[in-house]
Amino acid sequence: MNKTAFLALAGALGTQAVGADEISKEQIEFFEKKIRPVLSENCYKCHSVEQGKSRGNFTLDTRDGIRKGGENGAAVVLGDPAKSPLITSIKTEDEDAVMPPKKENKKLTAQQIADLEEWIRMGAPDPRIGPGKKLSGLTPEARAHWAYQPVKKPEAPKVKNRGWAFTPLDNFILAKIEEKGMAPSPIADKETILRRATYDLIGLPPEPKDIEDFLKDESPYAFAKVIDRLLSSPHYGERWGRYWLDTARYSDTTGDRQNNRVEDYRYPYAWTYRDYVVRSFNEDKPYDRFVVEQIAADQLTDLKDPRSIAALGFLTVGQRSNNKNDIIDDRIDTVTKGFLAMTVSCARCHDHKFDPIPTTDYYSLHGIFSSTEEPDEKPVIAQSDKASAAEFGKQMAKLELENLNNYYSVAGKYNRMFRENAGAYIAAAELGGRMSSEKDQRLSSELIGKYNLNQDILRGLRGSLRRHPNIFGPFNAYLDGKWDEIGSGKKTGLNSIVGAALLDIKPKDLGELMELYTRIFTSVNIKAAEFIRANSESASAADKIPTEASVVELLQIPLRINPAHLLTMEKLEDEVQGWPLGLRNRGWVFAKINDLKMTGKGGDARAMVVMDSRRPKNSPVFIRGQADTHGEEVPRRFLEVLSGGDPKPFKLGSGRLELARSIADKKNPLTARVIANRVWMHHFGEGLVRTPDDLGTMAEKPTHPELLDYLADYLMEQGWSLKKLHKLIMLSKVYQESSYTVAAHEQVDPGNRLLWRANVRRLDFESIRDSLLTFSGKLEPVLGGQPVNITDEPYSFRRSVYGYVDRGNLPELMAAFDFSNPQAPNSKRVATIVPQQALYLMNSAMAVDVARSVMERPEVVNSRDNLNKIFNIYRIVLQRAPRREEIQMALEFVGFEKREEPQVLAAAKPMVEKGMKKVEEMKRQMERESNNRLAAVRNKESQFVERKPLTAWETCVHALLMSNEVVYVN
Amino acid sequence: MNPNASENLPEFSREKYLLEHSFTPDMMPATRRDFLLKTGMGFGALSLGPLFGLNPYEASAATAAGLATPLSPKAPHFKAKAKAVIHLFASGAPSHVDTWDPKPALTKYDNTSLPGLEGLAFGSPFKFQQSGKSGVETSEVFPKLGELIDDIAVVRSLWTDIPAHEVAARMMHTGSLQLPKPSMGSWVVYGLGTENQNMPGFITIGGAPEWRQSAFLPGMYQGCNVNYSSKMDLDNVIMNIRNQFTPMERQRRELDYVKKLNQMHSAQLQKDAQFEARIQSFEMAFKMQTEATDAFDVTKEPQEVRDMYGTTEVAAKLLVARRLVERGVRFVQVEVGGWDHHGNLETALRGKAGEIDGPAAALIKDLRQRGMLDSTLIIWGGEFGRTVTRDRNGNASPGRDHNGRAMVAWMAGGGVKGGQAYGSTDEFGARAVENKVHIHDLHATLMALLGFDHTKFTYRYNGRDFRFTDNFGNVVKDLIA
Repeated sequence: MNKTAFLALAGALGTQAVGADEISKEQIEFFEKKIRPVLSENCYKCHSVEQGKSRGNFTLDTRDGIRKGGENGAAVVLGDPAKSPLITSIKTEDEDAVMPPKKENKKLTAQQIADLEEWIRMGAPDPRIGPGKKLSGLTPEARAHWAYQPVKKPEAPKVKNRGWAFTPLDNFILAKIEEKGMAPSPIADKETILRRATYDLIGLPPEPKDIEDFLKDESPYAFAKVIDRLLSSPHYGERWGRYWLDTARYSDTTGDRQNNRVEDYRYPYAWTYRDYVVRSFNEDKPYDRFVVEQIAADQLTDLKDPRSIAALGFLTVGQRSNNKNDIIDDRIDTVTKGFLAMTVSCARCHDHKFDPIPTTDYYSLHGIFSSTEEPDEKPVIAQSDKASAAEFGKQMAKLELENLNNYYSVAGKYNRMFRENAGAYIAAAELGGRMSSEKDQRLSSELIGKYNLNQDILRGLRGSLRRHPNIFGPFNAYLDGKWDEIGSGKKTGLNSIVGAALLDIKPKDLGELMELYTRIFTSVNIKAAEFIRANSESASAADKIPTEASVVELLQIPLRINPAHLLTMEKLEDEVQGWPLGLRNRGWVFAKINDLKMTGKGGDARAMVVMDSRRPKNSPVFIRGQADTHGEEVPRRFLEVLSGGDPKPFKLGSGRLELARSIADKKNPLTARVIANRVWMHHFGEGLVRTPDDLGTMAEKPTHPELLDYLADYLMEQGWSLKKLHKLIMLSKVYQESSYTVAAHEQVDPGNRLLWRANVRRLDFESIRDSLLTFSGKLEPVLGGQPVNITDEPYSFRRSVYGYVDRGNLPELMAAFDFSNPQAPNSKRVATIVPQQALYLMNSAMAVDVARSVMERPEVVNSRDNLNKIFNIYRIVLQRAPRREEIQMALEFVGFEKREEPQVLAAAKPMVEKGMKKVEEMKRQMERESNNRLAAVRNKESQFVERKPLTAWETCVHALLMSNEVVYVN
Repeated sequence: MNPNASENLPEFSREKYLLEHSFTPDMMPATRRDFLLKTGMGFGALSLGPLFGLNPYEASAATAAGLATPLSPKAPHFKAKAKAVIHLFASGAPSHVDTWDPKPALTKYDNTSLPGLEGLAFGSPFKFQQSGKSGVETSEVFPKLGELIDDIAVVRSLWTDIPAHEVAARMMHTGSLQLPKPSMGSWVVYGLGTENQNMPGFITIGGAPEWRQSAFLPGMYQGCNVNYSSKMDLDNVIMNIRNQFTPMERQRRELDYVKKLNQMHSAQLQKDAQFEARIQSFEMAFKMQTEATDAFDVTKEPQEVRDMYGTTEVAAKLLVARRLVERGVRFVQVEVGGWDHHGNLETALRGKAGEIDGPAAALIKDLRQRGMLDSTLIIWGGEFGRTVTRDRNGNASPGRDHNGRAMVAWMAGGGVKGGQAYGSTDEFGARAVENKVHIHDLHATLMALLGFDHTKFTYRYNGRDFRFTDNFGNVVKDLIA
């Protein structure tokens, strides 16, 4: 860096440069002997590029680092040690601020400090010239990262084995396999391919008829026909919608169970977003449109299906807490990981350490979501038929009335309690304040004891005191010894009742003043009942509110009493949320209202929408992510690295629509790559990049970068049609490879990263459960609707995608089967193998029920003989014909178990009896839960499984359900 | 179906059938440990390195390749004494100045206002006396633990960020105030695996779901919760642990049949590591049915041991905790709560202390008698401390409000240097001042006791390496023997 440039920079950063660039030999020696060792020994651990640590965004192992400083500005003021933070923070007596931090147990000697001071007086001559590095992703190298470069359609590479490829995709794969001197696996047999394709596209096993049809169809288009059939099945949207719900961290609850909140923790309408997602996949909604709708459906003028407004659930179904900035963070995280596979939320506290994402990027998005609100009332997107709606409305009205009655009764009761002892309450609240003297506090405590004052009322009153100087002003004046000036009712602007009562009165002591106030408040008691009745009668008309304003004002201390016609349940919740803790949890039925919304038939479907706030505004950078430490304000705009380094401020409202369009723009290098990579991942078990939610610099490079670009380009070229992308992928030869392994190839590529064979994949939780239901013949193929219970008896027969997801308490069963963690976007599931999974298949009532149901299926019941029976069972459970040994084994097993039947029945007797008792217990539990404020969603549409031993045949089927083949796709 | 109906089934003798379809002991090692030894993989060969950073998919693939499952025992970064943890969580936040942090000055200025503090001082109604050889002062409410003070390290300078129950409890269990992070037990089992593959590695007896959540760690590290009570039906201790339809003898034959099917499947298709791991998981599950429920059956303990713990529910839970650790469970967490004493502290706190004093002392003695104390770390503590002033909530008898600036915890066993009170609060106990220990520091120390460098103990998730201690935490070396 030349001198002028340095001076300009130093000036801009407020650093004074005292001709410090020329360094003499002596100065270098001084630095090396006295300064560098001290810094290195005491400071580098937390503040050096070398150690990769930049606490406070500050490094001091380079000259520029120490001069630029960190969040708190330059560390040295050249020539003036007393003003240099480097020195002051070493010398300070403040234990929390001292450097090195107290916990390091390092204290500089007086000599060392003197040396540092001397060094600064010299102008801090520093030979450590080099770029002022911070650990940061804001580097040219990071900006040049492959994922941020435009998608270019590559040529398919040449391959030796020209006859192998079905599609250009295969060339990309084969070229790499050939490079290693290997060969791809042969194509799999038809049954395997059908099973693979069926699970891949609809998450269910093929039905026996599908198998027969496919085996019979010898045309070259047989498999293409299968793909078309599966893509047009409504189950396709259920399968791929569920994948997207993992990305969208979908849940039916906020995850916040704070017991001091009056509201329920459930989202009664999250499911309308889930249904929107399933529908969008089924309609093959262009992916770019899918993106835009989920961020800004409220701002689109061309929504064909009014239900699509529910797309905004993408933003709103996340984790909630009391902290607005955490909610915004959840949305930033979900949008950027979900669509762009960028970890922008890392830039909340500091510039991203590896990717080119400055904090200003984060806070530009922060401004957008900070300018986004949720309306009080969620819009209705679908109504039920009149008859059931009427019944539902009746129940809802009853619950709402119950809540309103509760509101008036609690508020009325506590306000009356206050009035009866108003003087004592006011005195105790005023005297017991934070800043009061010991004497006053003692007095306050005595009053509380003597009058048995309620702590919650006192808390509520503290707020009212400030809000109503026209009532409490004179009381305060008395305590301050200023009664004669402003007390005695002379002050204008007082509440007229207060003014009249105090006119020309001089209380002789506090007791008398208290009595006066109690009298003032009790004087309106007579009006209280009438006032509350008038408010609670929901017929609108403000003229119903009786009496003068002065009375009305006194009647609303400490709790406000709003007229019913202005109170929606949402508003009521907000109101009650503002009450003191102890008053909040009294007799509300908010949770029952949610129960009704989530399980009742006949309610409206509503969308969890957002809208722009009236005055959208930019956010400042929060230094270290702390909301109260503001840095520069950032315009609302798109991410720097995706805007050619020059993002333009957004102009429309919050900027959400522009953000959405920027993401969905074909020029955006990430959007198409990210979704193409995920689609590939769900077909092959691994993505071309193995981290589907992070394509940043820390992610592994794609195994086949050109192929990824080819897919991304194809997707965009085909109007962002995901169904076309599926078909392209599935018609490739690599998709149809067999999973047979080759020992020699295992040596070269044990992880099968080059796809020389098909991966063996364990089915996910949903597919396992849905398969069991399919085998049983009980699967209810109904689409959409309120969430159902899929884990506990009596469980629903609906597909698992409709299961109730509580992010705060994921059912053990789902956790055991690696269900996606709904706290944040997680597009990739793991597949662990733990005994709890085995126990589910071994012992659960559901597995028993499935085994029995298979035996009750007509084709099994009507089997000609045992051989035929085994064939039919295999067709249902394993979707193939049994092999000779398998038939033999099944016959032997059943034969043996039949002969053992008497012993088994005897041994099973106590177990079964216990099981029956358990069912009774569960029934009682359900009864209790339905009266419980925090009842989980339970769908009581099905039956408990009958407790009786399995027969020999049923046990055989039960065994097949446990076999590896059922839960793996190969 | 009529079992006697004549069908075209071949005739076989029971003996022949069992002979052909059961597995010999050679084929199925009794425990994971045996399996590893049999396959030539002693524990020395199991290093932490290769399994860290592997996703479980890969890790499970490593299983049958002869390595280990993600739950097999793993060696930490360095040698350490503690192998298991029993966390006694005193939810509700116990008062420190009435339990483990005596403050004579507070008693002296009782009922006066203290500089810089709101409200009036509340001197502890309890007496403290020097105990043990170490002479650490202990409260009269813990007479039995007081006798064992030479085994106990009291941390008097503990503090936390936000004194609200839910947030602070989340901090204590997950090291995070707001964001969902894995719980302590999940981290520990992720790091160390577990000794007994027939039991869950992390068991909680009560408590909130997020205190046992695995968050972004794989689901297998989530705590298995047991709503244990001494009167409970042992069939309910673990989800699906008891079959209500098929007797165990038949289930054994059924599983043998499944195993045959699976072996044929593997042979037909290909040897895939996952297949083998899954076969094993059924064997583990089968054994779990007896072993896991057995662990909860305290009636199997000799009478003198039961007498030592006592007859209360808390006693039973702590005895179960010992039985679990004895069986190789890595992390046991017991909620022994009810410490939110805003009022009526004198009676209520004495009662709570009385509940835990005897059983906790018995636990320490019992573990020592069995030679397990050195390898078992016990931690007791709540989510924050209490104010040294009276909570003005109108109760006739005073209590204390929430305070995050000072709190207390104690540790025993597992390589802890007992007989000391570490750090201190100010004259009145209002805030920690000397050798302050933040919750992150406590976590770092716990990790060190288990053999981990907490700064290097990470899990990669969403492009970032996460630590239990986030970016914080310093090991308190003085607490380690």
